[in-house]
Amino acid sequence: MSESQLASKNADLLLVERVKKGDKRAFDLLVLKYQHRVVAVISRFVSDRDAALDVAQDTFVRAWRAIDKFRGDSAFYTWLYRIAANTAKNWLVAQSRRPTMDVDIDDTESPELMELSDASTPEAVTNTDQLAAAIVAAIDDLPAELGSAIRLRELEGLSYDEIAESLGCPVGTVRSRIFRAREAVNESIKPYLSEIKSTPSSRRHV
Amino acid sequence: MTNSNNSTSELMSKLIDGEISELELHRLLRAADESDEVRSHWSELNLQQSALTEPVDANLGLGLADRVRAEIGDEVVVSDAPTVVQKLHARWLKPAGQFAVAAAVAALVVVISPLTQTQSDEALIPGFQSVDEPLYSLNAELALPQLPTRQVSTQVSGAPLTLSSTDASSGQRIIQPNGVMLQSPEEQQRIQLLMSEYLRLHVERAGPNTASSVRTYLQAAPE
Repeated sequence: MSESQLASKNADLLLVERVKKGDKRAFDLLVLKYQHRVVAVISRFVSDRDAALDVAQDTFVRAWRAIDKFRGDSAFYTWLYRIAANTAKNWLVAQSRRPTMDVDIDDTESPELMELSDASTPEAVTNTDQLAAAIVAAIDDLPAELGSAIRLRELEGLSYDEIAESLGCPVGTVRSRIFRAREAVNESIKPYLSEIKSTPSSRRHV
Repeated sequence: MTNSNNSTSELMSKLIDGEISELELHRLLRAADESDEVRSHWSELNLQQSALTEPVDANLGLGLADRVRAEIGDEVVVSDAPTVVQKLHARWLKPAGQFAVAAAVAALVVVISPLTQTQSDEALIPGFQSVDEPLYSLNAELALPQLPTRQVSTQVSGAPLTLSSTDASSGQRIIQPNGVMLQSPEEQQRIQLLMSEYLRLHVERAGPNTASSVRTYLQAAPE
């Protein structure tokens, strides 16, 4: 697990601990954080977008109700992914249809299934590829000090300490540069995101 | 973007990297709860990060999260926080326990009172089966002499009690039809003196401890 993944896990644990105490705001942040990935995974099982969104909603509601069972041994997303796959399979059974792929829900962390999650619907793959290209282009356009910091963080997965050592600057400066880089990239990709949402292929906006 | 939004965005960046403090997280959660703009920005920052590593559905706004929020509504997490059932249990357990105790006491009163009352009433009605005068008169059958005193046995508060209804003029206790037991004037005076003496001793012993006991004495003491 890279430093970046470890940091994300720690961030999730902070939120999960609050959720376990009944903080719905923390759960809302988890939903907003993972909704893009969860819907992409469910879309692999459920081709209809409206149905995929219903299954995603059900997935998050189940996660909320079962949050006490999450002990933090694995990443929160791994646990959420398992619920999403299980919920999607149940939906398919309820629709009296065979799953498009034979997936063992109890083995959702298997390499085969993780590979399955990497192969989403063609449309999602296209969107993701285009979005990733737009992000990388936005990073390339950043000033050198911001670009270096965000590359080392997001693409290399280094910790703040490692980035500070690599760039020869204080950790506080690294933190500030990464924050400013994220803001700049977000501003750069907004037009692209708006374009995605306004295209005719976007069957439903939620 | 205002300074406030800028500050909130910085907190988001820190949360993404797991470097946020509890206090900062609290501020961020409050800001997100109050502003859809903050929620939307948080979603975009995470989309930006996720899209670099795996497939995402970029065509999502706040709709799905809003639907989830609406569905979980007032649900309580089954965790440290009490569940709905636990809450109801806690809310109703104490009153229910009090009610159960009260009901048990009331039931005891309802069950015992008629029994006691019945025994008392039976002791007052003619033909009551007394110790010395059963309904089936063995004395008459055997031609034995009747005893002058009619004694009736019953129980009061679980203790056996034998009452006599012989003659009021003799100075002994008599039982009136309404069940009230009267004493002779001498006996009443003796009981009053005993009670006064008891109260005096009680106040003398309790007096040094509380002022209220003195008042009790003053109120209770006979003129």
